[in-house]
Amino acid sequence: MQNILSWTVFLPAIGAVLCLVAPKRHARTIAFVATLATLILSLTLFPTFWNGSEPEGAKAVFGSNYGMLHHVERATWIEMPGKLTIDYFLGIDGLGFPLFILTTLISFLACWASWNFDHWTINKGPRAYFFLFLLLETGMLGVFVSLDFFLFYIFWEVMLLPMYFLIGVWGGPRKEYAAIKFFLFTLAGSVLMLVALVAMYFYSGTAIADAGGSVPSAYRVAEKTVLTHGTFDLIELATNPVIQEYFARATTLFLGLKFAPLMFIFLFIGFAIKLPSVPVHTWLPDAHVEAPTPISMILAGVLLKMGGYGFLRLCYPIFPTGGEVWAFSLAVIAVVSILYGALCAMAQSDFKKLVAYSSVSHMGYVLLGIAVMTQAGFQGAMFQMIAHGISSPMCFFLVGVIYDRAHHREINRFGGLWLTMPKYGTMATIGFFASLGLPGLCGFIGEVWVLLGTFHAGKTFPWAYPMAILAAAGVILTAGYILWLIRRVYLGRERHEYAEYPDASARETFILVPMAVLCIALGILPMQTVFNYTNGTLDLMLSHVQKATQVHQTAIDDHRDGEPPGEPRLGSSASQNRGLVRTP
Amino acid sequence: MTITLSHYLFVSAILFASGLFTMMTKRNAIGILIGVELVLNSAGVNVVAFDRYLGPGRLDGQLTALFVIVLAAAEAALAVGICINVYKNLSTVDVDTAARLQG
Amino acid sequence: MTQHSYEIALALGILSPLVSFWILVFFGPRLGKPASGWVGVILGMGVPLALATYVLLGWYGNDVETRAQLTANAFRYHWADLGSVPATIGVKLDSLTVAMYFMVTFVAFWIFVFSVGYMAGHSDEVDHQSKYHRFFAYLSLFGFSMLGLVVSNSLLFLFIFWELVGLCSYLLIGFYFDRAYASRAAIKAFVTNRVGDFGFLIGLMLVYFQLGTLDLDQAAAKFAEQYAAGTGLFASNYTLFGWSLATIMGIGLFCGAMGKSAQFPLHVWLPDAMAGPTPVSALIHAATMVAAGVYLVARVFRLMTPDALMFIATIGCLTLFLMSLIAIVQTDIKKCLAYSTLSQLGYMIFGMGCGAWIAALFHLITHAFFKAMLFLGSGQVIEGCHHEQDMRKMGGLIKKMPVTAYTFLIGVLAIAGFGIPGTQLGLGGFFSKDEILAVAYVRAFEWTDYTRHDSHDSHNSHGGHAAMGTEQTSREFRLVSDPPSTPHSAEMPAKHGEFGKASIFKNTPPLPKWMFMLAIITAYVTPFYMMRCWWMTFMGKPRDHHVYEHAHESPLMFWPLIVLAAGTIYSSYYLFRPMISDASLTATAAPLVLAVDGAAHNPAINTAHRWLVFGVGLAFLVGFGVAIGIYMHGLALAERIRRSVWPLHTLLEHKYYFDEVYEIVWVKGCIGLAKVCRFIDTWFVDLIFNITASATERLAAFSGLILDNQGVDGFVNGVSDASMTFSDYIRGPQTGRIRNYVLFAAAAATIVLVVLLIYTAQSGGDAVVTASAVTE
Repeated sequence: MQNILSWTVFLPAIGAVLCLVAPKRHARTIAFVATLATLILSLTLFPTFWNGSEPEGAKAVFGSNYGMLHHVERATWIEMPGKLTIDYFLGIDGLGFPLFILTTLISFLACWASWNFDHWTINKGPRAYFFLFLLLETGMLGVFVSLDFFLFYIFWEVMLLPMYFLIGVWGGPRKEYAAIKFFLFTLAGSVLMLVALVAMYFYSGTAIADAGGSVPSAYRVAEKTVLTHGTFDLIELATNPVIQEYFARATTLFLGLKFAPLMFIFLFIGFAIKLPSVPVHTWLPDAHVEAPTPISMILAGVLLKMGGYGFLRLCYPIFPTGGEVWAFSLAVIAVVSILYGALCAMAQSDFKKLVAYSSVSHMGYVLLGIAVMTQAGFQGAMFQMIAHGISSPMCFFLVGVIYDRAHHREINRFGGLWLTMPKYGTMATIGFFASLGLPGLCGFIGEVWVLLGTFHAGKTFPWAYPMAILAAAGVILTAGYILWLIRRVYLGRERHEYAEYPDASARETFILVPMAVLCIALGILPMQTVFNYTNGTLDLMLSHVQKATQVHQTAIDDHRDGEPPGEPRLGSSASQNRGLVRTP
Repeated sequence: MTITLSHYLFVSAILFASGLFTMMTKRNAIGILIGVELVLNSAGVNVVAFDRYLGPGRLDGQLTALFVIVLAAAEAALAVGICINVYKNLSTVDVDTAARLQG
Repeated sequence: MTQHSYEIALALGILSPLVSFWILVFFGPRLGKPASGWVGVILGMGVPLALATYVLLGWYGNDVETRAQLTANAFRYHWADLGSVPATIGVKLDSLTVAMYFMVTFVAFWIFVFSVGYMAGHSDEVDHQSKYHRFFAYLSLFGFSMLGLVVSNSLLFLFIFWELVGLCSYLLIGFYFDRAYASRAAIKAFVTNRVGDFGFLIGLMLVYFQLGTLDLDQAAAKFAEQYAAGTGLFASNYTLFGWSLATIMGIGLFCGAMGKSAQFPLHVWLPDAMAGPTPVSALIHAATMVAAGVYLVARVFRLMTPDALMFIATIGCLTLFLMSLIAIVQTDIKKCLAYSTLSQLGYMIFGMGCGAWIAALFHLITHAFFKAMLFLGSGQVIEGCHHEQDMRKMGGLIKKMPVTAYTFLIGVLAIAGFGIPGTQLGLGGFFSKDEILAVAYVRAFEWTDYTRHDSHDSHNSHGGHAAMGTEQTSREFRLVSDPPSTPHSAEMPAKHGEFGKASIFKNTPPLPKWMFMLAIITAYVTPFYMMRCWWMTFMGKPRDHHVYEHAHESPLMFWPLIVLAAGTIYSSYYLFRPMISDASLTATAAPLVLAVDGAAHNPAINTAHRWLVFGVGLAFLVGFGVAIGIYMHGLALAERIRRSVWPLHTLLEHKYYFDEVYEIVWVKGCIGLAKVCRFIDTWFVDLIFNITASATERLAAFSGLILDNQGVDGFVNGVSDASMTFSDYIRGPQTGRIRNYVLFAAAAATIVLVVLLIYTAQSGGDAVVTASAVTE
């Protein structure tokens, strides 16, 4: 199918328009069909990735250092000839693919979770709700596939506004506060991103001008594309040697700071807010607590991943030297997030807030894995994103299920729910144990990969050892608060006020089961479910970063049998700049 | 005693002053009109006198005086017309009462 | 026979309980009460036991070379990549695996059978729904995890199954989760284990980082290689507390064992774990899971350094001594057995630390049999006595439950080390425990002789001395660390040969003598508390008639007891020891440490062992004698003794106050820290945001209300106000009255005229001149 990405991205938007014009009672049906269709459409991407994200010849793609793009769609969108080109540039690789699928899946499940909209405390305006919901999905999907920074930024903002209304209108008692807080935090990040966007455009323009005004494209070789002015093309920015070289040595006019680290940190702040990392995490608990359950699912399942995705898509490939400069600070932030988030979670008495803080802790692993720039770290971070994208919506939905019945979320007022609701209790055990990081479930792989990757980074960064050990201590805390939670809510003697609660309904079970199955599947078959699709891209990206920074130059492959140590495993320098991208 | 220019000017000045005084003190529209006529006539006297004494043999002053007289007649006709209309509307020719158009 | 038939059999044996688990999860409620239990017995353990028997017979039917070949060619499935290090999953096929696998399936099978009867009366009492099927589902899951742990060939999978058995333990301890203490005990067990696993993870990280593999064999080879070349772990001059990186790695891995095997600082969870149903205590907390720690140490023995082993020995020694003392004062029958388990696990760990690799594993297996049996016996008693666990209310039960009493006695004799010195007759503990002690003795007292002797010899000279070969030699102590004869030595670089025994001996310090003394003392304490336990329960006069009246035996439940008792008698010397001895050839081929084999009760030779056999082997007589002496006539004498040594008794009764201290330091500390964090989050981190927000709001108010309204707007309004005022002034004269205008005009004209005149006068009549010029 031609333009499958565009179809998938804009299908929810079409559904959104239909929602507006349809009768009120059909809004949810339309949304359901739209999200389901989007899910099915996105699943057709799978065959592309059957053989991994690094198919034959992919090593040479993008000058051998950045994954293979599939389903590329490219059209000039806004153009001032000779001055400015903004492309409508979509493409998917091993980095975006799992998150793309995750988004369609979680959106579908969240839409289904909204099915009982009429019974909500605030049940006005279903059309507006589902309209915004679908618009949000379009925004999220667009972020994961747009490869033009300008387009990326637009989708990023498109996603922001519906979220604001979804929390602010259909939320809990303090919804306005939470919505504004969410909006302001994210907007603050967006502003810095905008600065980076403009700066990158002008600096790339300067780089090209310095090089004589026309530079051949690093990867669109077949078309003989020549760059004559600044670009928003993320792949070009990351791989063009002229631009990269200039970025690495340029200084800013203002204060004469190094360009790359400064831009890196601008982008980083924007994404760290989304991730979220301590100390910019406080929007998250409030937003989660006030948001309605399906929105919490989206928020935890997809929105947080955009932070990690942003690091991997923008920060590191474009400013590898920035990653090197800030590695220590980032790792400290990550470890603090892990421990601090876990401790905060332990002290919460609000069920949802506890899960929200556990997200802070878990996403800390993502940041840690990325920050240390090792192969296992990148892989683990990616896996952790997917795993958390499944287990955490599940936890939020579990909270939602009980909240629908009890209309409160005080952990200490619950008890013995496993006896009352055995099916629900079993699901809850799977969900929370996955969150705990139990082997055999999805949370474990990411954590272990990140920890081992972090420890491995000790070859270049001596501080990585204590970081790894501190982060490993996080697993004890995680076990502590999750088990304590399970004991207080699900175990213990039945309480009579909850005795009459019905077990999970068919709809609730059907929403929980896919997530539970994925929790187990990801834990048992990480290769087949995630790594096969992501590792090629991640490895290529990492070798690109390492080449630029000389970080872990040998670490990546010195345990590989049969290859001499020190030789970069992925894409030797000979194949550099031999572009073979498959663009239409 | 010869009649000099100053005499004429003096008469003209008295006429002018009288007219001015009338205009300033009268509230009756007709009265004001009379004052205006007096001022105009003083100007006419002046003009004729200057013509006689300062530029003999030229008709400029005489012509101007005639022009002033015609102008005064037209002005009087117009003003009386206005006065009649004012009277029709307000039953009086008191100009203070008719001060509606004041900005 | 195909190449992989053993592996396939073992793997099927692992998957069978998993199938059983899923069946019970989905169809358990429909299967109902006895049926789901039998599903658990047959699929959950029967099939694995059958397969284990098949493998056992087949395996020992092969000769050594074939076995080595099979081990080397074992299939490995590429599971995932850890970075670029492949993580493989596969069966570690060697004698140790086969022996452990058989032991686990055998013991577990009979415990499953026991459970069918036991849980019939126990699963309903707390719940309006039957939890019967759930119990067997958990047991099956445990079977899967435990067998997976046994066969794992990679440290990563060892860790994964390690956590999974921890989960099963958690679920089963908390089986009666509606009781607060059970769920609390479950959490305690899990979290304490996690503390140990934290250490394990650090060890794992070091293995991954320094050795670059997670496969056990490859790691060992790499370890040896690095030692030989002085690189990697050994190149680093980084030390912590005087330990090298390699030692830290070993201790890290051992931390995992400390958690699971409940060693000294982390022992607190095991006694509480008795909150679970009794078959669980027998299976998980006596026979299999807690022994996994010892198994782990045995598996990673090749990655140990002398310092790490010394650490292990110290921990084991402290555990075995301290815990045996607590066992003396216990009155709860299960708690008494739990502390005895702790003490015996301490023996095993201590043995490992001494290098008594064979003896420790041997003890593990014999202990599994008799301790499982003892727990099942206690379950029988508890069941029979209407859920009474307090031994002070029992007594005289031998008449009511003879089978239980006699099998229990066999267990007591076995744990106490009953046997006839100088012969091959004896029960499990007699051989295994004494073997550990014998090695400890040599390590403590005669080690210097060995060190001196061997360091003077080149390493392969005196074939008859110190036993390099596999033949039983004149010397009782063999060094089982024997690189040249192992398959791995071939993989090792030639340089490996340079560090032979000489450097091993130099590296391995003698054992401190106090450790050996503590172990000996404990060997006397053990028979005492075990006999006390048995006597209080079964002998003497009934102390509580209600309990006594109710007491009965259940036939379904005593068959397992009898089988396990038979196993205890037989398994001891002839079945398992040769297997382990065989396994030790490959599993201990470490360049850095050595395993010392104390070939138990061989009538040959060593003087030390000879008196040990008599001195310690007869310890049970002393212990039994004292116990019977005290408890012969009821509890009165014991009570008097208790009063006379009350400070000691109180200390023991409170288990050295470990729980209290941990509660305050860790639990309270952690929650306190968490509260501090929440406080910080709400009042500082969030406050910053809120302050920023409110500051922005203030600023907005300032700029909006003051700056904008009064500043910018003020200016604009001011201009208009001014022009308004001005025009007001100007408007004043515009009366609309003609006379006023005339007046103004006249006045203005007058003024102009006057000014003009004055001006003219000043300028000397120019104006006049001008005027006259006009007139002319």
